[in-house]
Amino acid sequence: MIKDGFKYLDLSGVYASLSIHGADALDLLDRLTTNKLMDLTDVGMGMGSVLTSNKGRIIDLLYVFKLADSILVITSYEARDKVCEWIDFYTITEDVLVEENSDQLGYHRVVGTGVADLFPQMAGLKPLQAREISVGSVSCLAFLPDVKSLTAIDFLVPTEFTTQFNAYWRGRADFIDSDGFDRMRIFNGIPVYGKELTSKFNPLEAGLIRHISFNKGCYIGQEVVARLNTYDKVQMQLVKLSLPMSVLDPVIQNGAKTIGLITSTNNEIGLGYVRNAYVAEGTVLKSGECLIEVLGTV
Amino acid sequence: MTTNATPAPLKIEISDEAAVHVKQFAIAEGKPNADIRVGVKGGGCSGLTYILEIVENGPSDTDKVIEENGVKLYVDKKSYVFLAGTVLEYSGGLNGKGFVFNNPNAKTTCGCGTSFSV
Repeated sequence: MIKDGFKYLDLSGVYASLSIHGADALDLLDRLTTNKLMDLTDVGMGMGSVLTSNKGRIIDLLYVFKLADSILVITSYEARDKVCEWIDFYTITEDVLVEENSDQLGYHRVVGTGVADLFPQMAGLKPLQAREISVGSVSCLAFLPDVKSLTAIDFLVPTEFTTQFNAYWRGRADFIDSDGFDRMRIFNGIPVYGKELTSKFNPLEAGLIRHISFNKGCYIGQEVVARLNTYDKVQMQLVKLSLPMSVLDPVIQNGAKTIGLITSTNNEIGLGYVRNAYVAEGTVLKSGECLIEVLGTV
Repeated sequence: MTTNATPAPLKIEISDEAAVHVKQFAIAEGKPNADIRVGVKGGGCSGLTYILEIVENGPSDTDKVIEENGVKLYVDKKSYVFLAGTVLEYSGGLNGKGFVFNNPNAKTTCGCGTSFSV
């Protein structure tokens, strides 16, 4: 019996971690991504920041943490090689070394009201503040993820202790499979690499403005992102959708006019990009012959 | 007709006017015998940002050293890949931009001209 009502998800196939070593690690990442990473002054502090191309398009959404001896970067599992190559390409004379950790560290999430109360060390932490904690006999890095509508803790666990970590949660949480995660993340408006986070879209369209600093100075893509924001040129926004399971065509239309694109679907909910004029909650649009309803921006 | 002539290696050049201004800046900073280092670093709107600084401590072991118009210019080897063929010029006057990198490798530059992509 699951008495606590928590949900456990192994997201090691969704997110990966990189350790970035060297005196210039944070400075280089600050020059490559949208947020003011130089404000990560204390160990354990973290923030989201978008890696963008020089056209201001999304490469991936990163979560960056300052640790005692390195910078920890959470990236999408599928994007990890691309992110490593990108950082490596822009490492000219800097003291920076990137180490990909996905073989050594698994990424786990436990969702549920009161989950943080299980760990007194998490008391008072804000989202994206990381702390070393013990889960049963397993020492791991934990933080509250940056998801507005979800109460959860994310854990980075050494893969050699995955069995013990799972054993701790067995009996305390329902184990959710990848389909369950997909449904949960769509319901909570969480974009993922390859669907919502692609080079077709920019961070403003993807609802990632909270991860953009507009006064930090230059980074790759800054000129485009700043111009889009300043002159109100963002054309579309990421929205949640209600749609029938029979939807086959990703193109969203209003009459004969194409006004958006469905990027994810699961059991009558979905995510997609829709032109600004159609993002209001309750707007009814069409995809093929199917009616779809906008549930609001993410 | 074919030719076996080997093309001259691309190098980094510094114009007469830029050399004059480099020397003036070095004197103004109280370092009349200083040289300059050019390079690139990741960042800037377009991807790579130019580095131009006056240095007193000579080249590192891995630097390329180019001497032209009485100025010694140091460049690290990775930056050289992005800068080969560049002419460092000086744009003076009220509308001038100061030192300007005319870089044939730059496909695009940002609005302020301090960063470029290849």
